[in-house]
Amino acid sequence: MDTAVKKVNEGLYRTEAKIYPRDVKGRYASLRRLAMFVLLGIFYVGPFLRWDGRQAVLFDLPARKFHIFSITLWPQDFLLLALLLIIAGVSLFFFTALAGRLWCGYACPQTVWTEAFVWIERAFEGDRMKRMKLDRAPWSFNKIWRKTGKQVAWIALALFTGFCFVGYFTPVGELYTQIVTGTIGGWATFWVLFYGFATYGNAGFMREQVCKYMCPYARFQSAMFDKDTLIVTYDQARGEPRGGRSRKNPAASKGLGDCTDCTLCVQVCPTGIDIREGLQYECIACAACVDACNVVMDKMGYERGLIRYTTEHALEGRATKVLRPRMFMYTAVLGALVSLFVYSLINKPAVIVDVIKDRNALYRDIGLRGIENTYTLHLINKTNERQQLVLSVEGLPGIEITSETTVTVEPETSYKLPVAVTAPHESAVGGQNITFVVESINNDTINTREESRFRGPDGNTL
Amino acid sequence: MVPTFMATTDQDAVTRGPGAKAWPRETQKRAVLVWISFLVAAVMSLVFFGVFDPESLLETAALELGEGRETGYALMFFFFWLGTAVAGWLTLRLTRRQRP
Repeated sequence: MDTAVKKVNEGLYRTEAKIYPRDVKGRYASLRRLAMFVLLGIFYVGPFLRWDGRQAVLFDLPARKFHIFSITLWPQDFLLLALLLIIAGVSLFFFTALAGRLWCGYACPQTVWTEAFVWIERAFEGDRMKRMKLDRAPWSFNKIWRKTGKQVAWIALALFTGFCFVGYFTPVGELYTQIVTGTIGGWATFWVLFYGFATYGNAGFMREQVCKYMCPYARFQSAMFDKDTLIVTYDQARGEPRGGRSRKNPAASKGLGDCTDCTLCVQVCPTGIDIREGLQYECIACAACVDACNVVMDKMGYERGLIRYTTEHALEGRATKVLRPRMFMYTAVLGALVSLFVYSLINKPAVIVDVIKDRNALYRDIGLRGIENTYTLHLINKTNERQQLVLSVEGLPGIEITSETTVTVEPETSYKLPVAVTAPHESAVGGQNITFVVESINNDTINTREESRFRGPDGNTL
Repeated sequence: MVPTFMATTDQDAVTRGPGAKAWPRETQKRAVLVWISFLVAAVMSLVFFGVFDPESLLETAALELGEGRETGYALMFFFFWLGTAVAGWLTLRLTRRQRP
């Protein structure tokens, strides 16, 4: 049996460049599985949630409106999007400095979908040894159905992933109907296939290669590490010299460290590295080796944690400092950004006014009544109720709106209104700042102000 | 009977795994190029369309590029991807050094 396995291994080593991660059970494997279920659950269930009679989460690109439960974001809320991106970036820094590659091991879509795809692979082809054997075996009925089954399941999952992805941008009910009736648009089809194909390629085939060669974060994360960062590491002092031994005959292990050299830690590694060679950038900190090693330590009756989450300082026998200047700095920055984000979100104006000054004529002299400027007011009602808006203008003595000053704007729509503003000759000199004020009759919390310029003739031409 | 996980004595076959062979250098470069330019193009599209409306851009474009916001988004995204990929590819080519 052993020789057969060995031959299989050698054969594969020569011909294949493939990693066969072995299944592992333990605390971190359960955590990883939990993270997978939660994250994929959110992703796959997301488009199907309903809220207030519409899709709960819909990034309606054609209408340029983002619905996230009760919040609706408009292009004018761009600051929020920018803030969110920055917060995401700084959080990554924060968590990396605190706990190492948490993101890689548990939350990265690459890891999560790979986990799902490997799970399917295991269901059809069995665990590591069986998979290696199957790949080595000549084509037979058994091999064909297992491989075909895996591919069909993979493609189905990938297509469903693509469908859900597009479902975040197109109402998912409509999308489903369009697919069933064959009336789906060109771009929607394209993006379903594109995202499906990317999922299939990244999670089914490229897997750890994405982390090792293609991921920018994998290369940069070491810059955020220090000696107090949580890493997965092998306790060299305790493990070495490593060597095989029989459980029945502990005397054989005399002079050896705790590492039995069972190589399980290598077999379970999704990136195919040997953690005992020290911290490597390929390590995504998934802690599969920790679980695998603990099983062996339990069987041998040794203390757990030969491979464990720890810090360099702890390994050196020094105290680990969680509260260090770096952490304070990240926390402060993150706290400030999150506060700003929450503040902006809560105080988001319900009505937005964009003032576009007429570019064709700077101003118009309308005789005794003074100087007139014309503008286009772009009024956006972001609330879900109809608003009756009253416009006024201030900033110059005697300035007033001489066109219509009340307007009704339907819920969640925008309205373009041409506006004429007149100021008496004595105050309309040169270019000056004025302020448009928009108030709502039916909602007295709405009071939006927007600055613009009012032009009159220059002083010396009078 | 020794449990199978402790039975292996052949170091090479298991320690280094049957795989773990690196991609050829050229494949690595191509993959990095395509992936990184894709990520950057995605972020660029996000930021760009946070500010500009693709419909009005298509209207003002001198070329007949099609209609609808979906088309605008897609075209711009691929335009960004192409641009970032070309820049990356040229950088790779021009910084290439002769091996001694």
